[in-house]
Amino acid sequence: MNWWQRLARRGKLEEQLDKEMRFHLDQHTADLIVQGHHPAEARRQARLALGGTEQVKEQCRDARGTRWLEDLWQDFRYAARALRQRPGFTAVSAVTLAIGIGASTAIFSAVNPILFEPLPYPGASRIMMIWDTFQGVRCDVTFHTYRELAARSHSFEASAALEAWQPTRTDGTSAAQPERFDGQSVSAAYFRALGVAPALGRDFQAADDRFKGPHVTILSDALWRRRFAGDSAIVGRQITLDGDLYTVIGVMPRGFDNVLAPSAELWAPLQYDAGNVTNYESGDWGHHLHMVARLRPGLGVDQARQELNAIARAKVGEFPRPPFASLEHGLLVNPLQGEVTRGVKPVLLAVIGAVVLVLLIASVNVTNLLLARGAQRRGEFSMRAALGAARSRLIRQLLTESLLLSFLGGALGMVVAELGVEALVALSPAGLPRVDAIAVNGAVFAFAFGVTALAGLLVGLIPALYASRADLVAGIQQGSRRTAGGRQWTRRALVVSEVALAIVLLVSAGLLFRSLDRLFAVPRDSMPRTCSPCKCSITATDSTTATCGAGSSRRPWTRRATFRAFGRRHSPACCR
Amino acid sequence: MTAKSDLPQGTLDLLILKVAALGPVHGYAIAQRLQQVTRDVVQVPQGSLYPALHRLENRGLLAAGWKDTETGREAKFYRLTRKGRAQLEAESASWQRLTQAVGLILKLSEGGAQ
Repeated sequence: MNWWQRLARRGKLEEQLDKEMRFHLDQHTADLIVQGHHPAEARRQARLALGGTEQVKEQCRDARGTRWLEDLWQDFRYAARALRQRPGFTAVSAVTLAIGIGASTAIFSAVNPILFEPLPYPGASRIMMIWDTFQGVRCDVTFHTYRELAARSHSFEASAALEAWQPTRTDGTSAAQPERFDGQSVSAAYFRALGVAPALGRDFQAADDRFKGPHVTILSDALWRRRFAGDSAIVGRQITLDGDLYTVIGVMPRGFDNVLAPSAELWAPLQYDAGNVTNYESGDWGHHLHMVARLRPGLGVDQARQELNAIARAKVGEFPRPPFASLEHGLLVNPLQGEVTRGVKPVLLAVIGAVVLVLLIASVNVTNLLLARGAQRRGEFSMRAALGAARSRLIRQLLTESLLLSFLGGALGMVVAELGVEALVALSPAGLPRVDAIAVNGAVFAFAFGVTALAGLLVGLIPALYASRADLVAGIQQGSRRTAGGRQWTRRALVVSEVALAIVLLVSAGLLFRSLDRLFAVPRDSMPRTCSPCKCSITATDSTTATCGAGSSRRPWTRRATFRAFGRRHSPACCR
Repeated sequence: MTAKSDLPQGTLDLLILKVAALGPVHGYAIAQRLQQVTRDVVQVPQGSLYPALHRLENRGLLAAGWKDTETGREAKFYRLTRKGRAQLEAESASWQRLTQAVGLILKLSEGGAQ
């Protein structure tokens, strides 16, 4: 019989215990009568020999080893009764706590995947981003810098450069309506650097990523399902993007979360011209590529940093460098996790702080309510203490009550959290990374449970300590009519702290609003845009391509813009 | 009437296990038998008997079931489990060792006095 069964069959066990004691006494009495005692005397002696039926029973109950659980169950039922007796008080306290718990749970569920969970890639901690620097400020790398680093460094399994690509599809079902997509141009090893392979078809290969290479594209699962009805015959089919025919070679898996550009739905090889090295005027020397790389297993970030900076210092003839990409200011190597959350981390931490304040205020409010109620119930506690209840027992019972209250609030709070999460996802600014991962899941439940338990203890402790203070005579005689000076003092202190917390909350909310406003004022994808001229969007039709087209068949306009913005000035003016 | 000795700490469990080893038995019978066997030399506290029985049952050394006695009343009978038997053997062995050792020491002091 395990402890749960024992608890469930408590009534039966009690009955059996009673029966066993009765049998013993009857048997002993009968024997004593046989020995010649008077029945009443026999009964008395039998009782004496056993030594107090109730005490023996109590010791037997202790011997069961489930005493704490039985007490808990008793406390729980008592607490439920006490809460039911005052529905108004219970409702107000539970709703107050529900707001606090619900708000913090909702925010936690949003913040957890962004700040605390590892990125959804195998060995995510080994994925690095590499930046050029100019006078201590980070900036994107040029294509030739990427090429040099990829060729000369040995720290990485796979490295890739990437930039935004927004092609327009002109052969959709409604032919008259071209559709523009968010996508990325990437080096062949991009998905290998992230550690994700297409679910359907094949990954990019080195042969795809060369100047004037084949027009191939990989689709996201969402785009594949939305536009191609999840048809697995898509691999090998051709679609028209920016006026060119692209062959679909693969589809990414459903759960693939592209943190570097959450809105990207299709990918094509970068196909820069590696041969045109000394033409410093070319767009290939523009600082407009992000670079990601996956560390070899067992290598630390510091080793990679040292290696890359050694390469940056030691120029070789094979890889000439213009003055504006001389790498003389060194390179930055940072884990991707930190990079993705770089912009939003302080704000999110501030939001957590604000929500914790809300929870604290809610808790202080409920503490105050409980204190007031404790004063009303003073007589009851004094009576219990007078009947022999230990102080620890009274405290335990009151804590059970406040915990029950907080779990009531917690259950309501989960509803609040669920609604809050929906609202958060719906209202989340475009720049927030990993929005898809925001949901009420196991970790969030665990958090809510922890917060609820903590709130229950926090809220109940002071009232429990006060109510259980032994002042029996005064307590019984005067019951609820008088409040002791000490408790007044505590309640005043609580009110003061509540006001203080509210002011802190108000001020920080104001500051937070300002920072949020600034953070999301500039539309951007998950990374700070270092080169705004690159993100030009023209709906490319055959005529515009024809007008702008020179050299590369893709991104003609983009290339030009890059060239103009950075090539001429010969300095990475885009750095910020 | 001779003065009764108190039962040494922890021996009650051993005695109960031993009595239960002879066959299923109810609490009152255990008390009776202990009283008879020790010939009233040792004070068997009836009050501690039942908590001890429940504790042993809880630890799985005894198993209990309700059966009719010869007088036709239903009583809770305790019997030794396999685990209880192992425990009984281990505890009696250790008790024997202990008493032997104590006996040796007592003899030694007599020898020393000669």
